[in-house]
Amino acid sequence: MHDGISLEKRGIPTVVVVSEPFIGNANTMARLLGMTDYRYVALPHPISSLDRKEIDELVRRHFPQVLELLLARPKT
Amino acid sequence: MAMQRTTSQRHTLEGTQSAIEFCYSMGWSDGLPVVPPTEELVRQFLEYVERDPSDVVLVEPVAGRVITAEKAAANSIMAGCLPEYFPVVLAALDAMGEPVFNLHGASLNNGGAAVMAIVNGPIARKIDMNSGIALFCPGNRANATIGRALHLVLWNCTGNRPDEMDKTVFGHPGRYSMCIAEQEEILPANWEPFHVERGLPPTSSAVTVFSALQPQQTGYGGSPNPEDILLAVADTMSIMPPWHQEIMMVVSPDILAHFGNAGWSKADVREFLFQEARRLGSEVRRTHNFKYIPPPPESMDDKMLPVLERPEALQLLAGGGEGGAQVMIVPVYGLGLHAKSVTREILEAQ
Repeated sequence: MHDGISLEKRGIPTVVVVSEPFIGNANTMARLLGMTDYRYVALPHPISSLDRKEIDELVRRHFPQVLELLLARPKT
Repeated sequence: MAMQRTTSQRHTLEGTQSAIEFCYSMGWSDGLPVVPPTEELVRQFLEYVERDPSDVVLVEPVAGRVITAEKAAANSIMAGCLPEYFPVVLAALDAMGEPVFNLHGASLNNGGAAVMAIVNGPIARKIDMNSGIALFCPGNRANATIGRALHLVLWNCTGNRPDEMDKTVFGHPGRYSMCIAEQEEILPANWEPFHVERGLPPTSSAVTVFSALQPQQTGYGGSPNPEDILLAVADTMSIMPPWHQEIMMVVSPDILAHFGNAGWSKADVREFLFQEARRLGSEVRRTHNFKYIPPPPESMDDKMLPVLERPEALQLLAGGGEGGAQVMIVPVYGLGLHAKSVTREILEAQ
């Protein structure tokens, strides 16, 4: 989250992807960095135990959302 | 000395019990009662170290949160410290701000590390710290409250709590407190105290902090021979992932006496455990799940991989009680690769 917001503040469009248990942390970090309404993509958990096929499926399902955020202008 | 005004918010409460309950209601406690940090006590602590309330004592490196001497004093008071302990707390916080300590990564990840502090030098005796029997137990005010103060600062000032940034799955019991003093007086003749090894003069006082994973106690009382003792220690270590860059080991008086009698130096102990604490490459590879290092290649399947990346990765300390040939092994978070111990001299105001 910190990396994503830092890049965004430098004018580089960035999309942050987290898994659902990390939503609280993502929101806290966004608040600390002064971008409370920073939007990001939250994926179902767990991820690290998925196989390649399941990862591909997850990416296919969420990629439109990633694109949408990448092309949107964040509120700064 | 003229001191700046303290700036923390004031709350007026009737009686000690209601103040303690108020601290609970504000979420300032680790679960145990805290000493209410009155303005008078905060001033007393700051005067003892001759610091202004607004002096910055730690900047949390990722979120940039600034911890002032005033906040450090308030948390030390809540932890139950005396003013004489405050120089130790301040030196420890300063060390925790060092980038290699990796405060953010080591304290907020989903593993479970606690900040362990080790105190060396005359101050440990001055404030009556425990370096002996029941070393990792409750019972000594300085050990208990200095360790607690560091964790209360993390709890109250850097978001190291589950309702903010902490993602630890299980946590670590040392997060209540994990602070010891080294028992320098039992070191064999050719063994230097820990802070001296780190380049400080023997007459100085120092604190070392690191992100400690779960301690493992082991030992061997069946022989005075260093090889026999250390083979048992090596067996316990061998289940750890390979190539640690830092592991702390507190060695008990009984074992140190055996080492001293046999003329074994720290270097001898390190070399022996570097050679003996190993695991077969194929066994390491089949369960490898560490993001810090790549898995060993299949070509290493028949090799014995060392738990210590090099002999000097083992940090040896003296401590604990007589009556048992024991060591306490305390791994450093992230194999000591992504987090390292940091030592700071404790400077007392004259």
